[in-house]
Amino acid sequence: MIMAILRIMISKFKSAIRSKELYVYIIGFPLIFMLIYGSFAWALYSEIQPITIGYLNMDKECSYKIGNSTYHINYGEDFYRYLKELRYEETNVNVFKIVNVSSREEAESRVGRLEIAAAIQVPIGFSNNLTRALESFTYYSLAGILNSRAQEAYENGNYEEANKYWSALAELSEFANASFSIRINLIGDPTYSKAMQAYELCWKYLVSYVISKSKSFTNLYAEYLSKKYNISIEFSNETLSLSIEQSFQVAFHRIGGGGLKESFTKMYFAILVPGQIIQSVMMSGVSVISMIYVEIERRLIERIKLTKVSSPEYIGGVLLSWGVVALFQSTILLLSAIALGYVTLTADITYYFLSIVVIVTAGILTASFSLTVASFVRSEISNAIIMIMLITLSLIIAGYFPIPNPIIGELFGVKFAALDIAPWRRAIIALRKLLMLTSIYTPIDVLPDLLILFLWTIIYTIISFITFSLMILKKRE
Amino acid sequence: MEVAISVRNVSKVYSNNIRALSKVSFDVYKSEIFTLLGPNGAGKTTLIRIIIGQLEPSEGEVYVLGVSGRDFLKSDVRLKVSYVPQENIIWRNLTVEENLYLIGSMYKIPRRVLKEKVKELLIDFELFEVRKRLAHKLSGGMERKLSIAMALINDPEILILDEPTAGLDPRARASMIASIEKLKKLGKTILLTTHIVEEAERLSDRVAIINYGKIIDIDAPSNLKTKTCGIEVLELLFKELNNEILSKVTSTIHEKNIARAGDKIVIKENNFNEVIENIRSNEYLSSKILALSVRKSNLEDAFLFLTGRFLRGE
Ligand SMILES: Nc1ncnc2c1ncn2[C@@H]1O[C@H](COP(=O)(O)OP(=O)(O)OP(=O)(O)O)[C@@H](O)[C@H]1O
Ligand SMILES: [Mg+2]
Repeated sequence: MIMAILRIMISKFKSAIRSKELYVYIIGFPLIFMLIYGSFAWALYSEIQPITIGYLNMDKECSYKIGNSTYHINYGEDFYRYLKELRYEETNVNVFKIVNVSSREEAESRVGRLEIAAAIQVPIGFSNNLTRALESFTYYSLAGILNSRAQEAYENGNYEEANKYWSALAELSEFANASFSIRINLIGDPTYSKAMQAYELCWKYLVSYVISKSKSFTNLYAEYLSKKYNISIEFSNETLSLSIEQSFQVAFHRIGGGGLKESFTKMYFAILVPGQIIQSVMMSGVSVISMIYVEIERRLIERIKLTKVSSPEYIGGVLLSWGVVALFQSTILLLSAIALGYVTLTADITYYFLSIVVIVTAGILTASFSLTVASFVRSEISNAIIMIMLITLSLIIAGYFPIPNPIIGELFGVKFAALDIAPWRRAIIALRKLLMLTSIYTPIDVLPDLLILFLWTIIYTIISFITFSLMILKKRE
Repeated sequence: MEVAISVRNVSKVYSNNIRALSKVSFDVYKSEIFTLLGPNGAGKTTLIRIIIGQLEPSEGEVYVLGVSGRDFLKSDVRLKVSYVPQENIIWRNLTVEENLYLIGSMYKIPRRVLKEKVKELLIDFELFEVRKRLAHKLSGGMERKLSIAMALINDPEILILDEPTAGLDPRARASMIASIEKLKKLGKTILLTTHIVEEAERLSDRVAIINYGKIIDIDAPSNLKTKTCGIEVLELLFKELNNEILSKVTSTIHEKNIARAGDKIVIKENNFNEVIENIRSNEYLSSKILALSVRKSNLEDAFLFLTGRFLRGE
């Protein structure tokens, strides 16, 4: 039994890797995708469509005084209004569709259901910190100007004028040593591309928000000083943007775990590369089905039925061979991704071992799916049919687009989602964790994905055994 | 004589209502070469697929070594039968040798025995030189040989060959015929189909003439010929044979002794000289005739007289 399966597996593997068709799916498709997406990393995100994010404001109002006026402000709320009003350039389309969430748990569960791309969490001290920051930026914007004006007046012998500037500078100096860190948190799933888009946008708009706030604060303060001391302050706050970026942070918090600091580009490839690997494995289903079609058409199957090979041996051999083909494909793709600089390696081989398990399973899954389809569809266009099915499926599950994914059940504390019906999704997620985000995830984090991938693969395999045996191997027409 | 394959009253109507076989009955005896001779679409392949249990007959039953078609694929008898379909059954992306090893391992032949067997077949079928070549790079003749070599890996008692020489050039065909003769010497029972009369005549112990799904006659080739058209026939080939010519030539001959096929008239059991004289003395006929020969009858003639059809799609 085992020997027969192995012999069939080896010969099918040999056949597969000698067929040119497969190379289209290994090298052609995915590499072109990778190169195009890779060189236009942001093109994928340029769609003009609101991105749905959650908003969890934990900020406390704070107050500050300018002269005799006291201002009360909750920047968390203000930032919410700012984000809400944002439009894509030259369009009427909002950048964000914002959903209020009331707790971190709610945020995590909505992220899990893909209802929101990610959730912004504004921490308690945000207003206070931002105020300190604005004061500090104001100090750096104005101090130099006041000082040089005073110096200028003094050198011209205009001591009264110089004094005014010095007094103003003295008042401004209370902002000199403010310490602050402007931070917001983003709660999301880094294996999901929309979360990365949200991450990128949060950075961008937090920066622009702080810049706009500091401009108006500086203006306000400059106005106050010039009135009080009867001086004129001319300044440009264009220089602000450069120094400001080092002072704050968007911390990404992965759901169910800790924070991470990864570059956007790295995160981008973390989404892209495993998606491409599994997509190419899925596309090998086209080769599976044409191979089966040829065997049926050329009566090879009829011939095999006369031998001692049993249905389980034959199907087992076919399925396993495509597991090995998947490994072969993935190795080529991964090496290409490494060569392109999309992937950095880690030293821990557990990650690679689990990756191999995931890839082989995805190959078996693809072959099972294809055998099932081959049991019903038998025509020259069967490979076109399966190509359409698999491309559609792969786009749905690769996580490039937000698609509702309600939880449909739970087993051993592992939640099953609707999209798990296409279990390749779990393979992609697992590979994102295992190959790309090794600094964030441990191998243990992959177990739920593996569990679901295995369960569904077993179900698909059983279905393919039954249908292929009944419809093809055991049937007398 | 022991019966190897028995076909009892078999009819087959496909799901698209095409009637491929009507009440076909015959026996194939052990160690004989039995040929189904019939034109394209006669139902040969259909019949073979019913025999090896792939198709269910609409009516009737087949028995192979005593096992009914219904149970054939479940019974060990299937291991004693090999089948080479019309299309070559080879794995195109495996080498010649790998193909033989794969099919051998499907029969679970122990590796050591298999190695010997593969070598023997490679030599027998003149494939040893090309054993490392991918199957899809073989010539048509070699592909065919490989298919048949693969069918012999399990030493079958019964070998079913569907159009073994189809698509082969004359040299490859001659070599294929020699191979089949060799197999006969080994005492194999061979059921083959063809629409080539020379082959059927040369190879077969018995021939079944099949036309439109019906068996017209079954006999040894020599019997078939003499029985239906005597020892000799007169064959006339005209330029643009028309009804006028036909009636002028055949006016004195009994209708059942005349067969027309295209521009050709075949006449049997007659005073051929009389006919020839008649043509020679008629200026019009002389001007139209292209060829004229009295020759030994063959299966083609038998088929023509039995069915009124050509075997080959001329
Ligand atoms: N699977 C099928 N479904 C429907 N009709 C079929 C099927 N296979 C064959 N036929 C029809 O049955 C008839 C007999 O076909 P079959 O292939 O048995 O003939 P054949 O004698 O083998 O011809 P050939 O010399 O061309 O191989 C033909 O009319 C053919 O069109
Ligand atoms: Mg046929």
